[in-house]
Amino acid sequence: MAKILIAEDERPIRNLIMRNLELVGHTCVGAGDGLTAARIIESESFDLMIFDIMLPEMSGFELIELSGNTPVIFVTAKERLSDRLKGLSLGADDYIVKPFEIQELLLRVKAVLRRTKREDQKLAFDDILIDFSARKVYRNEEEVILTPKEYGLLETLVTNRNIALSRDKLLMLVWGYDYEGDSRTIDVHIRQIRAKLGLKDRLKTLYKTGYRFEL
Amino acid sequence: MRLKFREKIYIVTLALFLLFFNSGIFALAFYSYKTNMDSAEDIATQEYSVIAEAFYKDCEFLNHSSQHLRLMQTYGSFYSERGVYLSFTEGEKDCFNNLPQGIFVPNGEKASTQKANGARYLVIAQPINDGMYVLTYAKDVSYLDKDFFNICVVFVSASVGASAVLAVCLYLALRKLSKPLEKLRTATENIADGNFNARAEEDGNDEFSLLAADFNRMAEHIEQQLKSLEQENKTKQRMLDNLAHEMRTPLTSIRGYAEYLLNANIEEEEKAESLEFIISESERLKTISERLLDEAFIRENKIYITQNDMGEMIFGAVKKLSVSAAQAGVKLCADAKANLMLSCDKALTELLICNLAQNAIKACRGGGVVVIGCEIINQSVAVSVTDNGVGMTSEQLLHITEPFYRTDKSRSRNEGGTGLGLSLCKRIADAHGAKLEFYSDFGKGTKAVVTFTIS
Repeated sequence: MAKILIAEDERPIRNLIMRNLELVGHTCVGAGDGLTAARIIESESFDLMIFDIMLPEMSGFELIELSGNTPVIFVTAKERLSDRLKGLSLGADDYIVKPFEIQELLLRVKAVLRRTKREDQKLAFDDILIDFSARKVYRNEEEVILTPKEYGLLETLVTNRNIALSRDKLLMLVWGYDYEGDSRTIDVHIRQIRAKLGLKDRLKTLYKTGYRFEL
Repeated sequence: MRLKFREKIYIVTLALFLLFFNSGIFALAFYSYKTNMDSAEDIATQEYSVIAEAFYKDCEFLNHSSQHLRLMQTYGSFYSERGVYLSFTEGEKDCFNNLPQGIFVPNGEKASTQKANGARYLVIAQPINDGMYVLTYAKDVSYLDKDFFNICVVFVSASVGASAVLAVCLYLALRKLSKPLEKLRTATENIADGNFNARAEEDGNDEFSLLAADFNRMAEHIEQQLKSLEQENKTKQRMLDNLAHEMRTPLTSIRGYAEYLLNANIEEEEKAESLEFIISESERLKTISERLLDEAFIRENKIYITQNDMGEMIFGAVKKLSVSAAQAGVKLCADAKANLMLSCDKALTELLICNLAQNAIKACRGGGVVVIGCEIINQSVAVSVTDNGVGMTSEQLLHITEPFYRTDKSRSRNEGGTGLGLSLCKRIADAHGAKLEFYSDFGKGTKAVVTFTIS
């Protein structure tokens, strides 16, 4: 998984971002002001950096100059177009405006990591191996055939591991915004995945909430 | 067709001038003609009587009337050389007649003018030689008509010339005189197009320049008004932007932690920590909304003025803040005397002093000193809060009373500030008609002064 630097002066938000990223398997380093962040950038290398723009001592716009080839996402309350344009023109890979949903942040982080090829291509646990680049799943080194929707559902749950996803959210993420089917469709597919991969313990049903893949 | 004011004046003036000037000239010419005609008549009458008398005397010298005819011929040829034509009649019989054709003998004794052969004649006919003859006298006065015509020609050409000169002069004069009006119009057009810093020229001291001055005053006023509106608008916009930002940060946290609690499989300890974040961030939202309400409340001018002892209030504030000052390692003291009465809203004034003192304490790092002082200057009471903390730059001083402005963003927020304290102080001061001023040296300290006027 990726190593991510988070420079954000609001402790609650920094903490929140770090926890959620750690939950899905990333390693995080936090910085409360621009200068600390700059010092950390000098001594360590990262797969991704997340900067607030209005940081004490050094702004996110200044920090991005130090980022080198590392992808950068801005997280900020500045929602004006000019700020977005400035952020993106400075070479940021994405721009997230507060208040944001954690799911959105995670998806964007994943997208940026995928684009910059810093995402793990494979994930292995128990007797399962998932090859993300080939979109294939192996159990005991034998390929298990999943339908495209089943694979999509599995990938979404694994990417957001340890976070509960509601049926509606899963529908939106896997089937798309305009899908108008019954959310019970999810239950059917989940049952299939569980049966094919023997994931009864890892793929939990949460009462009234949805599903969570635990790892 | 739309005429300019100047063109209207031009046309009216020229028309009136031509009318009066020309009718005057014609009246003059006619009068002189008439006068000349009268004097010609007088001369003719005199000449007539001279002729009649001479003829009568000459007739007396002659003994026989048959010789009269000869005499008449002599007279006739003599006078005809001088443009005077005569006829003598005896009863119905013409004795002598060299009158031009077409002249008839008038009945009355007065002189009359007659036209014949394209010439004008003065004709007089009277009986002479005791009624023996009637002498008719006709004098060519065509020269009077000719004179009249000549005079007319001269006058008309003079009138045309004068009119032309007047037309040119009038045009130039009006153009010059209406220049300020033209310029004023250009300025008005400019302003109408939204160019509010356009001004009219104010030269001279006629109505135009007065109008221009008034106009400029109006434009100045509008420009000022617009500028202050713009300024106010900018401040409001900044405040709204800031407010959005201030609300957004705690909202993101609250929502994020709630989602985290709902969706993540986490330990009890982490759960408690997340809940604490939610509570503290909600608290922050609450403080912001309370401060905004306070501000709105004061803006509505709902203040209750009573007589209060300023010294006492200052000592009260010092007492109230002594604990937090001690925690911050700051020495807080009062430099005031009791029994300084002032009309003010007690709660708000205390809030004002406390806010200023809190800010001063925050501005100090450990070992700082904050002094709340009070003195009477002329007709006012000046309450001052002085610290030897970090101070502010002049750029920061400009903005500190704006809502949500922070000189040091992260520090202030971590200490629980909302960024509304000084904005509130400004409102309280304004509501009391007091002046709130800040003097600061960056790195050396700040002095805040509230000046209440004693009414």
